[in-house]
Amino acid sequence: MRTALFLLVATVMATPAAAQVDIAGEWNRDNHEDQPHRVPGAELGDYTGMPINAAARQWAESWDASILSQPEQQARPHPAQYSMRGPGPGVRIQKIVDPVTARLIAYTIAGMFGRADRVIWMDGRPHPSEYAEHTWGGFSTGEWEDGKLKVTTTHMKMGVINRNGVPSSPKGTMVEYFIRHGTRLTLLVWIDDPVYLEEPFVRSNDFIWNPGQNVGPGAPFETVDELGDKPRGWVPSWPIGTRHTEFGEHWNLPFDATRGGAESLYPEYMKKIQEMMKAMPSKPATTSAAVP
Amino acid sequence: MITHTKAVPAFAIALALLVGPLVLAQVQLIPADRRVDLLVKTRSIEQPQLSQYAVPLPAGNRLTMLPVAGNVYMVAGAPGNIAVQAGEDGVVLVNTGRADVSEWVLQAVQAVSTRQINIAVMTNPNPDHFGGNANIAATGRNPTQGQQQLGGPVRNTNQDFDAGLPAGGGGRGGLQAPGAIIFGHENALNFMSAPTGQASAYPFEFWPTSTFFTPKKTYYWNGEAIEMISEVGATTDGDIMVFFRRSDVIAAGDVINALGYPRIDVERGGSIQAELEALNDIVELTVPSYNQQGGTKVIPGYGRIYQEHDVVMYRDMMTIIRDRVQLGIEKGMTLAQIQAQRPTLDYDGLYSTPEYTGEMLVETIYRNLTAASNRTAAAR
Repeated sequence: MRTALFLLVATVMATPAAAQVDIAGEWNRDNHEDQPHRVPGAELGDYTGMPINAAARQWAESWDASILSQPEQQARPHPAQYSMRGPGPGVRIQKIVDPVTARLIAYTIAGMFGRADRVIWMDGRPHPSEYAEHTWGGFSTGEWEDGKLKVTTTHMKMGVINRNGVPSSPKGTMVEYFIRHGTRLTLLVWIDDPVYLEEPFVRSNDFIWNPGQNVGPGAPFETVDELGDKPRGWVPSWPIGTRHTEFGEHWNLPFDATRGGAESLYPEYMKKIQEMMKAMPSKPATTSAAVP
Repeated sequence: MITHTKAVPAFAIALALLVGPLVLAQVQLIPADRRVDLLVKTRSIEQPQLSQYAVPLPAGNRLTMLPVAGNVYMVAGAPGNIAVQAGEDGVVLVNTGRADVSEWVLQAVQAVSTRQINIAVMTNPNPDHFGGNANIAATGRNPTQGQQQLGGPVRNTNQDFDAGLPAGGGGRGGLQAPGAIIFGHENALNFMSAPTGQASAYPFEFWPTSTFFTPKKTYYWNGEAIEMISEVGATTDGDIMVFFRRSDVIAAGDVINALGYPRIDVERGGSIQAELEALNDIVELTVPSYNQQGGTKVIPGYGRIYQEHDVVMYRDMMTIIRDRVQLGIEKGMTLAQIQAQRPTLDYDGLYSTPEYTGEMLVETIYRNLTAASNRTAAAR
């Protein structure tokens, strides 16, 4: 009886009531996971594994990277839908505690590209009005769920979910789970975007505890003239009907298999790819030197 | 005789009595949830945006009021947006909303100011924006009309005029309606009014009472310069936008509709090219505070508060759609063929509405561009 009582007390004392597992600390990205996407960025025309709809596809096909030369686009960070993905980041997660009540008010996250810092409010406040401003970090609230931190984010700016023009809309909602296992942190991201996705887009990013990491201070980007004699309001884009075929050609994939869409997420799609590959014209073998 | 030693404590007590309530009032102005926000503000570049903190309105009032920046607030859901600048001099409104929500609009103004409404600016002759002109202007006072030198209630200056009382200086002698002054573009007045003997499109009390036709009109009120900038030809020939320089807020009117595509009314002088010029003007005026965030705020005709990046996305969208339609025209395609390409597909989820679809926008741009090229050909 005493043993049972001891075990009960020990169990209750060892675990916080809400099963919180603090995520504060210095976390470095685990870049060997999805390295081509997280470091250099996804290739143009690579929509594989993304449940995007036709509207997103048209946006991405029309997107011209030269647009980043606009003075008002040079200093843009990535929105929360992408900022935890890359490039990098090595992030610092801080716990903000009320010094009087010791109540957890918020987590702040710093270190993403362009210092698109985030605040995760933990004090139960509601999300702002639909008329409030949107920011790169969006408006995030957190709650504990079985030892995981569940974060819901709204009010994000228009941006990308991949750095090859695949868009994310300000109408989207993102739910993230921060799951800590000792010195590893897994971030599961669930993006529901009624404008550009056929069904929610889910992906994970891993981080490793790195107490020696030094997240630098924020520095505003400086914009410079990259346009030369371009007229005011110059907005480059590819015309409708543009097909970015290079990715499929490079990796010997059928063009249609690079187009994404909800069906491409499921195992049955492999059969479809095999059928598409049978229909592909045979390609002469290339040497590695010929590969750009 | 008051000695020095007696004067000091007396002065300290008087100072405490004067300043104490003000200090306490300042503390009380910061609600509990905002006080803990200060802890976050010291730790993160990401700062809570003012617009996160809605201004409480009386029960039953279905509008939303958000602080924007400086002295400027936004009242949303009227059904368009109203900018409210409040200060020591009084209140300036940019647009007045629809007539049936005027009572709620006045409640919202009273939530942030005890002063009178002095000025209402019409961004364009859209009934969603000027419908409250009569109700709201009637509650205010025109700052350009002289007041009595002596005490007593403010009199209706038009009655003074009718009674043959001296007009005084400034604009007092004008045929101004009583109440707040209503600024607007001259073309807006032309649209709403009619020559003598003819029926006007809207009754007199809705009309702007002071108009301009120059590129810009300025006014200084509540400690800041207010620029009314002509954007004639954007959605109509009567568009203006308003720039509150110290607050760093632009009320863009219908040049930006955050809930839909801009309704370019070609019949009333609107054009895609002037719409793009207006958007580029806003992009040039806005300055983000840090990496394309914060800084200058923009109040669209409808929908949420924008920052520069949001305006840039809107400008880019309109430019890209214009370019797609233009390319189709250059290829000799018909309107139906261009529409079949779905040039707005990638934006429809953001901005197409049943009242004004992407297809309608394409038709507007097509007709505008083809008419313009026909005019150019005829001129040659």
